[in-house]
Amino acid sequence: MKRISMLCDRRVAKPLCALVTLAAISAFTALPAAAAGTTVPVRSHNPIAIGMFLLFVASTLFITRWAARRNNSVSDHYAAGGKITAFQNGWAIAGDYMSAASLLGISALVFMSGYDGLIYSVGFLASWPVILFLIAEPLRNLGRYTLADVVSYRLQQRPIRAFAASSSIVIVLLYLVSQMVGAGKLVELLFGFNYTAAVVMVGVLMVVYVFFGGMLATTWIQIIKAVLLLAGAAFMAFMVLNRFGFSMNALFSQAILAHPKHAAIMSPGGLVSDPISAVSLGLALIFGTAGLPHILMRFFTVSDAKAARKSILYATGIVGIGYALIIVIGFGTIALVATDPQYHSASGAVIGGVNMVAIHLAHAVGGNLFLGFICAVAFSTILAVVAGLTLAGSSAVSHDLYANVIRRGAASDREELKVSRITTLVLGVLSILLGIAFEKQNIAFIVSLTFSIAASSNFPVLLLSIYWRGLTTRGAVIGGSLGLVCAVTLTVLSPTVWVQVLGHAQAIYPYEYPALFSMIVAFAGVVFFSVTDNSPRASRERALYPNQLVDCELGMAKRG
Amino acid sequence: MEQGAPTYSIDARQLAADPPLTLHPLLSDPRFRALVHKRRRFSWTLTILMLAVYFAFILALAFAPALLGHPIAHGYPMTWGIPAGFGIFVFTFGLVAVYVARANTFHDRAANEIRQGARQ
Repeated sequence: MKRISMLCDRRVAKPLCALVTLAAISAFTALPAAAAGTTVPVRSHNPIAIGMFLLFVASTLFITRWAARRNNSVSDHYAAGGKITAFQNGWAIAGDYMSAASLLGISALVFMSGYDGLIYSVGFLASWPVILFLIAEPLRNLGRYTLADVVSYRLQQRPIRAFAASSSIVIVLLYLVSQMVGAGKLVELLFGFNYTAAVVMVGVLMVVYVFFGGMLATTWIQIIKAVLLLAGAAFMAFMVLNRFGFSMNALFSQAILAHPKHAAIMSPGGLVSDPISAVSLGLALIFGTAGLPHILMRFFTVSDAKAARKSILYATGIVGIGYALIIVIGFGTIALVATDPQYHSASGAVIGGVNMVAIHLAHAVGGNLFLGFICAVAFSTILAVVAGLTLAGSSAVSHDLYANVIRRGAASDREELKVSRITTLVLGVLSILLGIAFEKQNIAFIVSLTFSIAASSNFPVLLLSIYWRGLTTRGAVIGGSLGLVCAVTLTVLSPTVWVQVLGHAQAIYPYEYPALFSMIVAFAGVVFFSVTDNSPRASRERALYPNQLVDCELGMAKRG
Repeated sequence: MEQGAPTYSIDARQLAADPPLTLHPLLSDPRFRALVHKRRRFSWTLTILMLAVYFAFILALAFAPALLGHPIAHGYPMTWGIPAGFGIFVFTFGLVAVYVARANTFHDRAANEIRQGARQ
């Protein structure tokens, strides 16, 4: 009991909670921070875990070889030729969203503060309906591979694509850095490998998947990982409930007994005490997801709008079940891991840091074999996510920047594919270098920054291009850029960076997340610079809106 | 005044090269306009419902945490917050299901009819 009370001591708990919160958003970002000072591997050189991981890598390489034979055109490479089924795409979307960080981060959050863990899972799920209702269909009907296709439908090709590609690349790079650092730290903890070697391995594998297998390989790797993750979580939750006679009340009672906060773990704690930060985070989660290039890209992989809609239905179901299982797992960690001395070091801290509690629970309920399985799943999920990101980043460069901005639409399929592959290599090298450079940095803010940028640059421009006749090129480019700059600036001035990373005494911007303000700036900027745009070009862009509406609703353009 | 060619901006010169703008014939089709109207109202209604439920939850957490921390039955540890949280999972899925059911049948059929009408 004393052990977690040390962890949940007020002074320690606050930054820790904030860090884990971020981990829960998606990546492993918080792992290094939460595990600071404890580089002891959970189980050093666990042979079962390594064996299972190698098995996963071998099967993904096999899939990549199979996919490479079917990867012959731009459409194959970016969108798997539109041949993914709704059910498959549903699993792949769920995979993109249910990273190992959901498993480790949310269960760690429940471990520390109980109910608060549930709050974040609710936020992740709530973003899907909004994407479906507002974005998914117009995206499919107006675009081919990227969101810039949609925005530039009636606006100027070159400035719009240059803007959308730049903000997408910023998002992809930031996201990649957080994943790379997380992967390195996780491998160090789980398998006892060297950090740099782990980062290089992740970089090389993701390049191989994307370079040869394109979207088809990326999708299948995502599907396999999602199935493994859900199966692992289901087994763990089942074993936990089994110990308590399948009674949630019995599980909660034991958790209340074991946790130093006792009954308080059943009510919301201090995590959402500041409404502005809470609303800001909510906005970033919900609307940021709708601006993430690797998520939007998934809607182009199915054959029609019907399938796109169904894939979101499957994904929402899968992710919802996944999160419900993770909450059970979280309370299981309190009941079973918190009081067990074998999972704590001599000083009383959880071995490997609090983010490892789900890994310890795997051992507690399933022994070494299951522990190895969960370790391998946790790592494989990073591989799947970075592959998707790399593909999205390389398509922004090859499809938007190269084919449409530089070559003005005159590039051949072959040339575009070649540029896409070169970009994949460059992104691989870049993310390895950045992963190594950021090893010792506190990068907990990066994931929330990524979502905030997406919510304040890509999302406003995409939404208004579909629903607002008055949008002009000038408004989109200036407003979207303002949103991006504002999200970055406020993040730098916030407590997470200004105080915790840069070491100043007082934060200039007092809230944790920028989205509430940066989204207002973005929308206001887009509207202001569109409304005041009196050029003849702007009036033509407005006049083209009704025709766009026809294609947006009926998808006539694509049907020819 | 000898003011030869008017000084067009680059934009204007490009515009001169653009084909004249003709509006799509479907835009005056009342069935099309009805479909757009119905579909958008439906989408935005569901969006607002989702956002309202989500932000009501977040604001309840911020301003009235005791509400969610209240036990459902005396003597049992389960609080109202647990079914509320899981309830939002179910609500989210339900909302998506309602949308998909309506879009895949009613809206798609209407869109198809209009498309075919336009081809004839």
